[in-house]
Amino acid sequence: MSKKKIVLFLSFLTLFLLCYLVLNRSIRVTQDAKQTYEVSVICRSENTETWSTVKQGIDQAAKDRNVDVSFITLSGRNNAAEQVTLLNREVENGADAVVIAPVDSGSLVKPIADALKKIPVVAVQSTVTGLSGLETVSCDNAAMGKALAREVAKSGGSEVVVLGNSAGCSNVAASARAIESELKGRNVVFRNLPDEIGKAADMAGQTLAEHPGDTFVALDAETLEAVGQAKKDRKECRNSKIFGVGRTNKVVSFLEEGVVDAVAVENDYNMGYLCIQAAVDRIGRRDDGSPVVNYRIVSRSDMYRPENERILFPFVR
Amino acid sequence: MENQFRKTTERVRRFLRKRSLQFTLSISFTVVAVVGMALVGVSLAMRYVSSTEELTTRNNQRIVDQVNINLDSYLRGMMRVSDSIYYSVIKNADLKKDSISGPMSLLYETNHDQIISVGVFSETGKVIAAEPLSDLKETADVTHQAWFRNAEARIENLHFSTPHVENLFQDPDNKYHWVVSLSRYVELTSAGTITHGVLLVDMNFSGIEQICSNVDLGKSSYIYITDGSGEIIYHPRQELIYSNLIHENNRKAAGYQDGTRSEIFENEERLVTVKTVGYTGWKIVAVTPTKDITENYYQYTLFALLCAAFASFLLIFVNMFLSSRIATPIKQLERSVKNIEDGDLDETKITVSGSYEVRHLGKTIRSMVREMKHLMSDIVREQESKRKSELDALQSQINPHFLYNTLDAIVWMIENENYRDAETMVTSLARLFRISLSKGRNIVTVADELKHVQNYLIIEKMRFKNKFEFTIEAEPETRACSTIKLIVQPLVENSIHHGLESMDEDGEIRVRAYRRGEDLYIDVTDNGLGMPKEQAESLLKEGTVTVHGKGSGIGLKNVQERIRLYFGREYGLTILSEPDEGTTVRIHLPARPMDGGTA
Repeated sequence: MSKKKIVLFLSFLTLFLLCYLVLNRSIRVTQDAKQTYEVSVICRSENTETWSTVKQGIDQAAKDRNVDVSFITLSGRNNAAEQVTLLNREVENGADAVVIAPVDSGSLVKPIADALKKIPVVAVQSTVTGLSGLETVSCDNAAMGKALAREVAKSGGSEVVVLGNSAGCSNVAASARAIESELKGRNVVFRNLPDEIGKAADMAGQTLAEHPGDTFVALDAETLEAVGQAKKDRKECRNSKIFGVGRTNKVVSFLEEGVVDAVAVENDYNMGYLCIQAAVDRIGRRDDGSPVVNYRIVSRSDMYRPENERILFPFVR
Repeated sequence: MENQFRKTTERVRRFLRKRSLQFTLSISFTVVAVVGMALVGVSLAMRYVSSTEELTTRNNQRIVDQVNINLDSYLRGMMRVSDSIYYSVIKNADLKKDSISGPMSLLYETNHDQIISVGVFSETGKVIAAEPLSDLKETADVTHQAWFRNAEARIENLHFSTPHVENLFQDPDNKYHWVVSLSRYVELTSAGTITHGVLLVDMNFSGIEQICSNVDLGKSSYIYITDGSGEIIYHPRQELIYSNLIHENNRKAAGYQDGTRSEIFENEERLVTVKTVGYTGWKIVAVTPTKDITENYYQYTLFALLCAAFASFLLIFVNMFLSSRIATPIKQLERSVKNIEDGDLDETKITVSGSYEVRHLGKTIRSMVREMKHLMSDIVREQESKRKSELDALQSQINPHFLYNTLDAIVWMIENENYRDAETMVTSLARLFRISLSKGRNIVTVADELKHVQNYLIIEKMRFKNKFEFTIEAEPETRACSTIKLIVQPLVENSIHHGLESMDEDGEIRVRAYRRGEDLYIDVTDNGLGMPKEQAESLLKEGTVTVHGKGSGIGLKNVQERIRLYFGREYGLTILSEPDEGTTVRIHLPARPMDGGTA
């Protein structure tokens, strides 16, 4: 064989070897594409019924998108300092992305901005303002607040007491603003409840007793439970109208019993699923915009309609 | 079609005819090998695809059958519970005096893992007995519930509902359960009177879920259940479907016959296996996205292509090597034969290499060339010998004529008592013949040849009564050089007979031998009539016959041929002539001494 042919032979051999290596690499890349991502989810309270449903959605998305989720709850409600510490810890521990429900739309701006410089951050349920790279997964709280306010308006009454304990959360604030705006011409009073559930329930009861026959709007499920329980317990408050945001089994039973007149319910499962999906998309540098979670206004009369039943009674697996 | 095939075949044949043997062998082997490999590769790939699909279909079918068995068993268990309550409890009790709560409670406790509640309702929706809870919610409107209406509508059947939240009984723990309701129309006996009612068994939805969720179809395959109208009973992503985040082709799948089929849903091709659950009419649907099956096809195809390309590449090189081994010796042999055609008969240059057959062919050609060379040299020798013999014969033909004339002149001289001239002539004739004989040799010295010419000129001068004069000169270094015998005499004879014979004034012949380098020249010059240049050139041309004058030019040609036969074609005669000026015939020979070396 001539020297030229030997060189040609070796060139082709090298070419095939290169092709083989490239092919192997592409297969590895394909396998890498299926790698597990580590995403930390930082709640804004201790484990509640609402967050149990959100977690189901998170778990389903984690299974679908191959994500290893660290689900972190706070030791108490609305503890911003603890949330900041947890956020920094998760970023330092090498999480691929963090999903957070900011308890305070003001004090968490800087920690989230710092975290965003290192990894993708997705806000869920509530958000902080002024961060362009922050994706938020929540329902249209303003629209939900307005829809609930329209239900309130139907019930009549000129005095409306709005109760809540998470005024720093953007979703609560947005709902409150929407209710106030929709109920113009009525006397709308805002009352902030303490974070501790026991104290919040007591204060809710007192407020209810102070305004017998008025209309009450609770801005979160825990407050709604407290207000509902107060109405059920106090005979003088039987004529009060109660509306609220959020669901728990107790809230649903109050709704069924007629203690609560109507509730605005976010699709918590949907929210959990979408926040993990958004986090994975961000890791993969995809940006499909902030997804919007659906909600429904449910009253006693239509709570067992299939579309309401499905949002009001999530599957417990 | 056939015509086209024939045309293509002919085109290929024409193309190959113009190519070398090596190219034809390489391309033929390679094409056959690559086509063969491609056929094997494609058939293996097709077999792989079909067997993978077949395996997936069989696997899905097996799993669906298993789920069907489990679900059927579960539903039949529930139906047995219903039957037990109806036939063992309700039918044997008179509600006026007997309580059915005890036996119902017992049955409930036995199956409480799978049952949320059991209850018997009157036609008006009043609770007759229920376990574990019996207080109806204020809002509960039993008679408007779907399970109640279905039982009343078709009294002979058992009815399974789609999943819904159980909302009949007050639960102090505020628990809400997703259930599938099994209802039937029942006859109630109260104080001997038969009334009608509905028996309800609310099955825990998680029982169905457990049957289906443990099924592992692999990758992104899954199984779901619909009722006869396509309403989803179980789906692993039921919440996502309810949230409208994903969609399912359940409505269409409910219309499918049992078996496996492929469908395209939301631009995704899927393999769907359907099985109808006995009695309920529910459909178990196993879905395997085709991309799960074909996921590895791309990589397998790439690997197969790489292997095929590598094998082709090896084959091409092996083919090139083999064809080169076969064709190169043949090509070398062909070149050797071409050299033979061109006259190179050196047998050692004929290549003997390659396979046994080609080597044998080479050896045979070598032997043939050797034989041919022998034959050719024999022929050349024979031809030369024959030619020399002819020339010698021609040369010897001159002698009798010259001898007759000379002897006639001598006789005439003796008759006229001119004894002195006769003696001179006889002496010259004797010397002439002595040199002519030269002991039979054809090669003599220039000196002898010039002596011979001198004697001839003496004789002829006497015969022509001193009508011409002659001079013979030779450079000393030329005298010992060798020359062919009797080549100057025919030229001198021509000068006398063609140049001087018809001249009125005295003629002159000059013979001069001289040397220039390695060449020897002998010029025979006369001052005779001369001739035009064209005539002079035509005298020495082969195949021409000169018709001018007395001679035929044969003498000149004989001399020319003899010189070339002995010394080669670069030597010979040159005729330089001008009309009325005279003629010089120049003999060109190699300057060689008589012993054969270079002078």
